[in-house]
Amino acid sequence: MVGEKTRATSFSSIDVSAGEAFAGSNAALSARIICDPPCDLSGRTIEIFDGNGASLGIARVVGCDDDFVNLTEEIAIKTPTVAGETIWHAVLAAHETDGIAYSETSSPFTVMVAPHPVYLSVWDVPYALDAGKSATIKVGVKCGAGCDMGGCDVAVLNETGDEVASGKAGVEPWPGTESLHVAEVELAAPQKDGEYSWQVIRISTGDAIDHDESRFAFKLRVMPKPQVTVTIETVAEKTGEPISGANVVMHPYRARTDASGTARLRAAKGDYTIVVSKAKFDPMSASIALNEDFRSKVELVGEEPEFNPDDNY
Amino acid sequence: MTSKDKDQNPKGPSDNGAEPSQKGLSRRDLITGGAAAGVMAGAVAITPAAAQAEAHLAGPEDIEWDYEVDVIVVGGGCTGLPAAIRALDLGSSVMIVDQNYDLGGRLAHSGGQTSLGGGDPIQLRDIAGDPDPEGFITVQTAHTVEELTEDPDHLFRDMTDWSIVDGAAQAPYRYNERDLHRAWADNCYDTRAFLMDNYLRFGRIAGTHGTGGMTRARRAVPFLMLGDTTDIKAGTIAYADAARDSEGELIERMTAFCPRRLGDGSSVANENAVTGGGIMARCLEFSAREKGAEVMLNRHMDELIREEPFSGRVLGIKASYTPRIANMTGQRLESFWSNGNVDEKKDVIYIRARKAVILGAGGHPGNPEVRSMFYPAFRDPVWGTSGQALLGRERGADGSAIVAGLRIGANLAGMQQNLSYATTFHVSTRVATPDAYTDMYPGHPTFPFRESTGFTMSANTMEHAIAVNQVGKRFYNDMDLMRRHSSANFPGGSIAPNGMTGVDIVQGDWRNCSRDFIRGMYQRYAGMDAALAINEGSEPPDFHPGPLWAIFDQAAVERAELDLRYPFVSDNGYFFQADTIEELADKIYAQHQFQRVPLTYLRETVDRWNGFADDGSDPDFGRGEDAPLHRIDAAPFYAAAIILVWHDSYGGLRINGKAQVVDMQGVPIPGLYAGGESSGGGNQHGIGRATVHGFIAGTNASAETGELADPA
Repeated sequence: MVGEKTRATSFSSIDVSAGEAFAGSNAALSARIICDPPCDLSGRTIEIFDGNGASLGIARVVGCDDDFVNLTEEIAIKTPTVAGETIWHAVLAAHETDGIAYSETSSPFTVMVAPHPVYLSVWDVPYALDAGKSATIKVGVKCGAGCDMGGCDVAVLNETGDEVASGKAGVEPWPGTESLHVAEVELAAPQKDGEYSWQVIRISTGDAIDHDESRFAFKLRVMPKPQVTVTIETVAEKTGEPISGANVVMHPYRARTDASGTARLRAAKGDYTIVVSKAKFDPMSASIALNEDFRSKVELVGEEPEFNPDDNY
Repeated sequence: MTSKDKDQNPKGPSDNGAEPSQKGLSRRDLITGGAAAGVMAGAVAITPAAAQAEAHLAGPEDIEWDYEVDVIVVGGGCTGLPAAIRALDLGSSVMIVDQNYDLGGRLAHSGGQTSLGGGDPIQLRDIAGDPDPEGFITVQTAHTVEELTEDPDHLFRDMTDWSIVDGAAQAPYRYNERDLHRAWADNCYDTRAFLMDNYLRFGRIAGTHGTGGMTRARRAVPFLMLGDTTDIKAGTIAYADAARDSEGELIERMTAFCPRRLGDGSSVANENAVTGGGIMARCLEFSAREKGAEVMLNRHMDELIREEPFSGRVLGIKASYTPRIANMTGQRLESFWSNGNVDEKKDVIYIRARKAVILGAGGHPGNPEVRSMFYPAFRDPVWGTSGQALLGRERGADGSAIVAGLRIGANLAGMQQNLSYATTFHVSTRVATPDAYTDMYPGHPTFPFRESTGFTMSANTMEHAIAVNQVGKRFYNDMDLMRRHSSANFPGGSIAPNGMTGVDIVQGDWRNCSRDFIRGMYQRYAGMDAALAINEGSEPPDFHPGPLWAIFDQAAVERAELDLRYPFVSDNGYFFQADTIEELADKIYAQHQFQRVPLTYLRETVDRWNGFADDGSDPDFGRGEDAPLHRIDAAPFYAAAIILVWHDSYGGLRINGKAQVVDMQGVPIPGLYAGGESSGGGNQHGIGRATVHGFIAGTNASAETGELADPA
């Protein structure tokens, strides 16, 4: 027994859990420490150093279990702004505990520093855009790690990767969102009709912190010059009153009815299915072969619940 | 207060202002004299020593009965309340035991649709065009004399018609128990009269409620008149109790009187009349309490006590204390009325029934293990039963009658009949609330158990959304998901056989279910089945399908005119809003109780859907022909829980025409009665079935002598 207590050499192993953290944010870190021979380190501390030897923080041992596994408190340590693997060191200074001298222990560990995810969304892209016409689309940008994307730059790239439009996200979050910043971007349709697959990107130059390069693809359908006009007038079957805000879809053309219940579509000649819908009415559809201007009055029937609630209980 | 106190303190004016009533016996009793002994045999409390047998083998003889009454009624709903009142009318002492904090059961959130018939008093009144006694009714029935004229034989034939099929090609009447329905048809007249004697004012006959027969109009709903105060005797209800402002307009606020807003009674009674099961429940409760029923709330029947495990008489029940505690206050919920309440807080008690136990304990849709015998995928506890906030998610409609009955040798009946009626289990059009069958607004004490009213996503409204499963994948044509097939009741509608409706339908005609006819009319949708399918997130052994979500965007909110505010939605884990689709998926996974796996595919699914919208067609599920396809792309994004509701149940304890529970040998179990959803073999939906069962059970239970098989 006496011999053991006077042993001069001993060591500790340090097992650090740091998990994955976003660049330029806080990593949660805690350590498990085991000594040989076992000892209770409660009250002692370990210090965390980066690869250059700069101190990042100190964690206190808060408890020792029955198996002499010492646990530190969880501390937050600032991560680098550059994404990637980084090696840090946890150091337990030399100490004497229960009459045993333990040497300094330094244990390297890896922290995965992730770039911030960037979520892009695109809306208000017309389902059909006439050749040479322009449209204003919305591009939403959000950082998944909480960076303010207000004022950031976005660009639209065409199918060959050339920038064809750009915009700047608004400073205020978009209505109804926590922190989605939206740019309004004006697009000019190509002169030739057809389907185009374009992309939206966020311009990341100048980021202080690494972010994912995010791309969001969308389809742009460019139509040949329209030849005919379709006019749809919607009324409620029961009252004859005009219905505003009804969806009139003749794929890929679509419009909504105005206050007078009327929607006008300029379309190329061809075969179409016209579908008309409006909240609280049953949708209607009809097939037409469109060779000339077309006008129709659509009477929408009020929606009957599949089960009258009064029959239902 | 013990039962003994009751005997010592005969009821004076009660704390709801009720006076002892002279009402009670219905027409037949007055004519025949019946079994009414006219003696109120009150309940007495048993001292432990008196009931304590010598300690030997543990058995019923060793039980220390905490209470003793003539008739125990388990469940204070649409079976139990009529049963209790009937037994009281016939001179029995009655204790109603209910697991919930208040009486009413599921009746309280029903529509009050009471489909009887066979020439019942309301049919006769409306044939004659007579007024109601108080002159409240200002309208006439919309039905012809022929549509209202029938006798019990005709009703019986309707209710056992082998040839009628519903829109799912299931036969709702073919498998009905004949003895039970003969008695049911024969007792409809008396039951209607009895209900009217107990403060129910029925409006004009209007159609027939679900599976109440094909050929005659039989449904009437109870109403009260809007007024300054709620006065059951006067027939009025305060505006606030009917969820209306002083102008009579609906408001988003309830009182404790009724769990959901009452219906508009203008078409069947009066423009100032309101209708519903809440009215029916309170009127019957008022009468039961007035007539001296003891009411033990917060008390769940766990077991039936029989002389021997599988033989002899049912002696009573074992029941446990089940208070409902409000989350916010930590206080026990208290009943709306309290006269007659026996506030017993002991964990487990035994109650002796001198004459009989009547089970009106509801069905089993709230018990995932029991209901899964019909549909294994429904074992997923993500789906509650309808009215779960009102009834309590743990014990409401938990199959306790089946569980207790099987333990003492009872048989089951009609177990396959759950598979017919379109409402039994279905995809609700009400989304964003765990309790999706009905509306309910703040103000009722059980609203905090749902925390949101939900809002309607009708089948058409689903034009603006996609429905995804627990891993974020579409699984069916979203617009067909909530559509249901028609049930087979008067006048038949789209499933009426041979193009004939109502009185023209020929009972028992083979053409009614010819294969050609069924091929033409079949209309069952399988969205619910697709929703319950095994998916990438389903784990053995149960392969739970998990929750469902309607996913939509801000543009949909505007197009579909959705009103996404409290109380329709709240942060109760059934509705989410997020800046991005990715964050929407994360929020659902983090915050919904039953979302066991991440919605891994949601982003991909939305992208794919948006591609379909761009292309104008949906090759996955065939949308686009009937209604437009819209991209889901405009922030913010929303998820509303789509709920599969298991509403009611048909399979249950087998009962005979006397409402006696029958054992596996076909022998009635002495002293045990059941009705409504606790019983099986009758595929009629709702209150018409249960009230008659209760009436029959109350009648026969009261006539019991209580003789033991083994008097020793």
